[in-house]
Amino acid sequence: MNGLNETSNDRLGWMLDDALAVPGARHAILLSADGMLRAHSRGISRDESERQAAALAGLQSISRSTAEFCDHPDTAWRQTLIEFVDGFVFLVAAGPGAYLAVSAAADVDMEAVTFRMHKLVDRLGKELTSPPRQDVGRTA
Amino acid sequence: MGSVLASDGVYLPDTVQTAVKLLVVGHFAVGKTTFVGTLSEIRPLRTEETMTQAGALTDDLAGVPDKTTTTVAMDFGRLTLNDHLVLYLFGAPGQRRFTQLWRDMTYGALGALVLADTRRLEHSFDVMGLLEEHGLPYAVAVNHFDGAPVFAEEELREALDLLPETPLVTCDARDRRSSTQALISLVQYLYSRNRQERA
Repeated sequence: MNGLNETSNDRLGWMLDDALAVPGARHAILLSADGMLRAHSRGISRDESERQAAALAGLQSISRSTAEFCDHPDTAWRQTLIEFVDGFVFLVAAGPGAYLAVSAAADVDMEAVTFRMHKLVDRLGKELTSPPRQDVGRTA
Repeated sequence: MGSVLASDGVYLPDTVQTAVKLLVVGHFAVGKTTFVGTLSEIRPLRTEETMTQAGALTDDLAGVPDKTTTTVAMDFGRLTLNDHLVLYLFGAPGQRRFTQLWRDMTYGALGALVLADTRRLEHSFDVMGLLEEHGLPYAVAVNHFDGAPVFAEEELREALDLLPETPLVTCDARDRRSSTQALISLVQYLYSRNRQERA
């Protein structure tokens, strides 16, 4: 397994907390495209984060499959936004093979949240990517 | 991966060294959601929706008349097998119309458990074909339904056209013990393949 070392992971969690410095922002999760949790902000438990990581990866896959509905089957996916009565969930790409999700209250400044998310993705750059596994996909 | 995240889970000890992603697949109504729900030590992720009349022509309910919901995206659960190994179970929807999601879900997976139903064995070929396309090794677990016919292992192997080394076990998706056994046979198979390839 391509594990992150402990220092690196602490740093990721800390950076996710940092991304929540917008009034109304709730939790942040960093996940790999295969649905595994990479890091989570302090206010959400690991069990809950793992379940959400799986759901968000599925959501990204399903979101992408609607590109054709948008009349451009090959257009690149950029963001999925979910709106609830009581809040929002934002999902964006965080480098190859990784996604970043943030949840927020209904009255949050949405522009500020996405701005911060993209800032975070930029800043972390390489640190946030989950390169494809090298030991899978072989035929027997 | 397990050891590097601050663990606040009741079941996940800090000694966990290996996180393994496995798929739980099979045709429509074979018991995938039940299987993941039985095994997961955390509250499982479920995406069930009530079936509508629109699906009546494609989703065959013969033999499962009480089924009212179907998974539209995925199931997810976690099972810690021992102090060092934790399994992440991803259940993929069984119907053809979900193939794209299915493909994405194979990403990063080490293997799959194919659930089968002896009343409709031929329905398993679709998913086994998809797994073979992706080069994903799998084991087959016959999920025993009350009143379903029981066949000898040789007959099942022939009907499912399995390779001699493909593990074939029986389980009851409602029963934790036999379902765990089914996963263990998959993990052992993956482990022995891995060892052979390294040798």
